[in-house]
Amino acid sequence: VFSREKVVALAPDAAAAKAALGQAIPARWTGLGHDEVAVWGECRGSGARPYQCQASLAEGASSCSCPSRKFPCKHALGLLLLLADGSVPAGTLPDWVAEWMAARSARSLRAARTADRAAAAEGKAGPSDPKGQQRRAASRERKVDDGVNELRLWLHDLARVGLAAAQAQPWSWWDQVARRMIDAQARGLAGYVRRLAELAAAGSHRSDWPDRMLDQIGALHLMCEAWVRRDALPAETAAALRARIGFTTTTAEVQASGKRLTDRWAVLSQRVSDDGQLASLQQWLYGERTGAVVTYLAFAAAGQQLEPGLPAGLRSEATLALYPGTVPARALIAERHAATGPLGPLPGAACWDEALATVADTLAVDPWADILPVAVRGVTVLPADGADSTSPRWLLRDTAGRAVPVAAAIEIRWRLLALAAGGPIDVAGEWDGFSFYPQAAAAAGGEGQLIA
Amino acid sequence: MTTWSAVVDAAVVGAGRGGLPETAAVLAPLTTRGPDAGARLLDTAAAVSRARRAGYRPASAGDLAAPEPAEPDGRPPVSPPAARRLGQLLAGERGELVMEWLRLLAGTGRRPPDVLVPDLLSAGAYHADLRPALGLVLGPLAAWLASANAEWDWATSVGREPRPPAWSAWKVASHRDRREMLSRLRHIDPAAGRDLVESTWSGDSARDRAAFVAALAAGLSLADERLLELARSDRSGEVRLAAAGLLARLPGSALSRRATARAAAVVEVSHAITGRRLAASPPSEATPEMIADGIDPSPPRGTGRRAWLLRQVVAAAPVAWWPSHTGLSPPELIRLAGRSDWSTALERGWTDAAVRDRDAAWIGALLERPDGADRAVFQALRPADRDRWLREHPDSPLLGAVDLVPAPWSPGLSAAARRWIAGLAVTDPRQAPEARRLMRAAAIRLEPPAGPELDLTEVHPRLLDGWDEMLETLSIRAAMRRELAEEPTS
Repeated sequence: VFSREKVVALAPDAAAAKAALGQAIPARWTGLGHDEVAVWGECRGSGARPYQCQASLAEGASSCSCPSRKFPCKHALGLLLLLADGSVPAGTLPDWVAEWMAARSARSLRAARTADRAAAAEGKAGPSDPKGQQRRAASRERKVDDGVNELRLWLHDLARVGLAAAQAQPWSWWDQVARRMIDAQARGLAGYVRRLAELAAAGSHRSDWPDRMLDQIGALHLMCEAWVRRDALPAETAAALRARIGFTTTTAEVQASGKRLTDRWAVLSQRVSDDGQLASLQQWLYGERTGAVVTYLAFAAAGQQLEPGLPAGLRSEATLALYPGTVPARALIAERHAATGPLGPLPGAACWDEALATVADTLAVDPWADILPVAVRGVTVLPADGADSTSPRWLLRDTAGRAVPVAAAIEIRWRLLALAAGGPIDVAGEWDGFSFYPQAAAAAGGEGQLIA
Repeated sequence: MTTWSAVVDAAVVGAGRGGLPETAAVLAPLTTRGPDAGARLLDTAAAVSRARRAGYRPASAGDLAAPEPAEPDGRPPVSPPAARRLGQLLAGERGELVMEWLRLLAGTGRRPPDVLVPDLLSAGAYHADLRPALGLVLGPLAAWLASANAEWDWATSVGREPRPPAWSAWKVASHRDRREMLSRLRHIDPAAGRDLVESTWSGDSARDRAAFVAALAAGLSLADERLLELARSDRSGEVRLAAAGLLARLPGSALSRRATARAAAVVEVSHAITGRRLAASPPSEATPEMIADGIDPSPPRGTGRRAWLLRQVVAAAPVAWWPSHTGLSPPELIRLAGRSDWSTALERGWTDAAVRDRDAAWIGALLERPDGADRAVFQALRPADRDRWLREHPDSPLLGAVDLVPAPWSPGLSAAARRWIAGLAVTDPRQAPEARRLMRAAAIRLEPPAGPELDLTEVHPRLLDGWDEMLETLSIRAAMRRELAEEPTS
């Protein structure tokens, strides 16, 4: 549990810390409660509705429905202060908190990987000493060897005792393995273990946790086995493996020798996150002439400026440089050209089967690919019928009658429905192997726009 | 059961305790290599999880019913920059700018961006004061969405003929709904509104009764006197006070007839060769009849009894009665009263009555007295009268109360406010709270949205943050106007 000092240290600035004290008054709150993984409550503010505020105890991450742009906001800090004071009773997780925990574990999948890449990229200097470089490279491979061997044994034990037993383990049980992988200079592996820990933590609130956990364990096991046989792998797959384990390429190398791709790029998603220590920006770029789909990623440590991507929700002409061994390719912007225009109609396949066919092609090269860009045209929004508990999820149905479940915040789902108005829409978003996360949409054939 | 879910089930209990499901022949070489059950489970998980991803097929959902389409909206959409602006305003919780954006949109004949209609409906659900502006611009799409979401219930009939209020709900509706219902009805049919109040009067709470009496101010006539007289003997002091206030404003009511008779008896205007004189002869005691009509016999500490009674007797008469009774205008009456022995009591009485009756001529005359610039008296003016009064008195210190004038400010008032604020911004920071308050109001109400002409270097450093914020909001408002004027096809 957090001490008062630790809570105050989380505050983005002195004003927020002071404001938090004003929120740490039980009378301002209703529905306060906590369990092993989270604390939650509703705080009366200046708005008409109380703010719903929640924090994860594992890392102090929080979310609040208040409009503050400070993070964490004063309500989240006040909530943690109340917890530190012992003023929050134990309780059972309400649905709105469970939803948030579930969404978080999906998001952290991306965040963990990107943070690992950034940290590794930062640690790279470019010594002009080829012998020393070779020696360091060999030493690192040995370290990763050791880490992978330990991870194989741990996975073996995990498989024997079963997921149900593992899910009951405390955070520290997972975390020590993750730390060991960081020592072994395999940040990518550490990210997988942390994700497993998040799925375990959110476990009791989402019914598909065993599916998602076993999917990750399968990928992790395959990664360990592939590392052992890395010399026998096709070059592209070996490159993908190294990138995912945590071997990074510096931006200077990519600028110098990365494959170039010039096109008119439609920016069909933009995600900005900032946890106070690391800010990140991710975009999916769809090439108009080449049909290529690439991702742009940028990171900035606290206080630094994020290198901007291409203008979100527009089409712009640019030359990209691609990172080797990334599928779909990660790119950096080598050259921006002036021409920028509206998004226009969205690209996309005629049905889900066609759109998802690219998944198999991607997995053939990089079997660890998990979040993939997917676009499809002419789908129908089927909102969940509140009265019908057998279809609690929103679906997007294509013209062939097949439908995928939609995972998105409630306001994004309603925006989809508003664009559709009962008619067909075109959508672009992400597929994580289980659900579709819409990010851009248009009335069928109409002008596309970002919705997330 | 699929192979995948069988493998998941096996993994949940663990390889130490259960068998492994058979996998398809094509996967067998990958899943049977391991030396023991744990290794074989991991191999199987790796192969089957990748196979599940590669071979995923969406489920068939052809039998699920899709929603009926919404009615089409014939209005063209706004330009993309205007749509982006609304998104930013909604995300930034700039409620007052959203309101202005909606009002500006209503004049263009265009529709709000479809994708933001759910966000507008949510904004209206939380902020009821946005609903009238939303009602001007939302169309069939909003009604269609609202019919599928109970939180947006208020919008199910937007864009169609307004539903007549369900008067039958009078007995069961909430306090707020009943108050709204009554004030709407009083504007259309005052008698029907009165009937509604009388139908439940004996069973309503004191809070309800006080609110309903106050709502009778709209469409007030002598026909309401019987009900108001009943309310004047109510057990609740709040109800009595509200009723007495309305009866006093009702020329011809028994109460106001008695009040004007008393006023006529205590104030006399005489016409002598030396000019007109106003003489007051206050009562020395409050009679039982006066007390029954609401006059308080005991003066507050520091006020003489006769002055106190005079003030109340003067205040009890409708303030508009004085000019017609004496043939003198409010400024003339105030001037003559100033020469009498009872000037303070007379002015206070008229002030009480002018504020109660919201009489623009009287309030204006009272504000124009030396030292008459009183914020509370100014606030009694109707909003449009406040704008006009300040426009006509651009040097009055009451410019400091310009934040009491609601948006939008007339161009004349805006010009006066710009000068006033520029004056405050360069002076000493003891006036900073007033300067900040006025800058916040000016930011969202100046019309056209342009700032005072003042060089940034002249603004007092302690006011710079407020100054910058005002200029930024003004520039957003100017941009909103440009964007909404753009053609949607740009």
